[in-house]
Amino acid sequence: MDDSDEALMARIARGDEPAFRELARRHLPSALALARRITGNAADAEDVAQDALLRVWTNAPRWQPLASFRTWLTRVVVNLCLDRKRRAPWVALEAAGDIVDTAPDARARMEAGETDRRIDDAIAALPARQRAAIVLTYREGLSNADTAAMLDTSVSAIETLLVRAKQNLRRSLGDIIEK
Amino acid sequence: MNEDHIQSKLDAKLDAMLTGHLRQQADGEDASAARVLAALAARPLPRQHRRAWSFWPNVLLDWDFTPAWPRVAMLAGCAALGFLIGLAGLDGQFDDASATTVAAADLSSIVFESEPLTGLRP
Repeated sequence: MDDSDEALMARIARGDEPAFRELARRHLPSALALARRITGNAADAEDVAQDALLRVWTNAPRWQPLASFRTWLTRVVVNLCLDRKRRAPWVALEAAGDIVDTAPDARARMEAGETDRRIDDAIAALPARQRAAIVLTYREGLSNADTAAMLDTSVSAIETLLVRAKQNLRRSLGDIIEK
Repeated sequence: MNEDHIQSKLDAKLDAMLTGHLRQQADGEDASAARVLAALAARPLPRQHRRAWSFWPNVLLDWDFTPAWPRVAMLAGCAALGFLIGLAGLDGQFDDASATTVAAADLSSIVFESEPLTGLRP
């Protein structure tokens, strides 16, 4: 049996639930990771991913395979993330508490963790569309044209968003970059 | 080293840092995926959005228009039977019954009146 995304969508359009579960299992991890990077927290990402998959189910009879399913799902996830009004506050470092690690490379790993946290904070502090452009470009590896299509804007607008986002990130992470 | 060179080097470093950071798997993603799948399985899926009459193309595409051979044989048999009945003249009484009979109608009512002004007849 053909188990390509498009074949599964054709079955889902006829109300085939097992096909939907198969497609959800296949694409959920990447949708979840993308949503987590754009929304900045796991709870919102889970809501967005679940909502996106339910839209796949409900809109399957109308879906036309003009682009790949993955492209369509990415677009749905990005739009849901941008539509989300609520932004959960980031947990402050003090609230995380201290965990004692006795491993020999504990200090190096702690520093790496601190760097990751600062990058996360810097990305989270970006305006939503700049953040989406950064995530689509650097995580999904999309070209400026594809990112523009995802965000319903022009290529020049994406270039501007990326330039401004990188200026903001350089300001926030200057010491890490120059290290 | 000039300023542009330093800037491009910092840009490249930022690009590499962002790519590396954003592509690494965050903690707990597997657990999140399991939670979402469980939530989807826990309740019935909503009704799908279907356009009115959207099912007709599928019905027509799924319809098997190829006639089965018994139907073709029956159709040919009926045609042959009708031909033989016509040849044998067994349908004569039906022809008689449906033949049009011109009744002996009263033609006196059909009057051709002359033109009142000129007196011409049609």
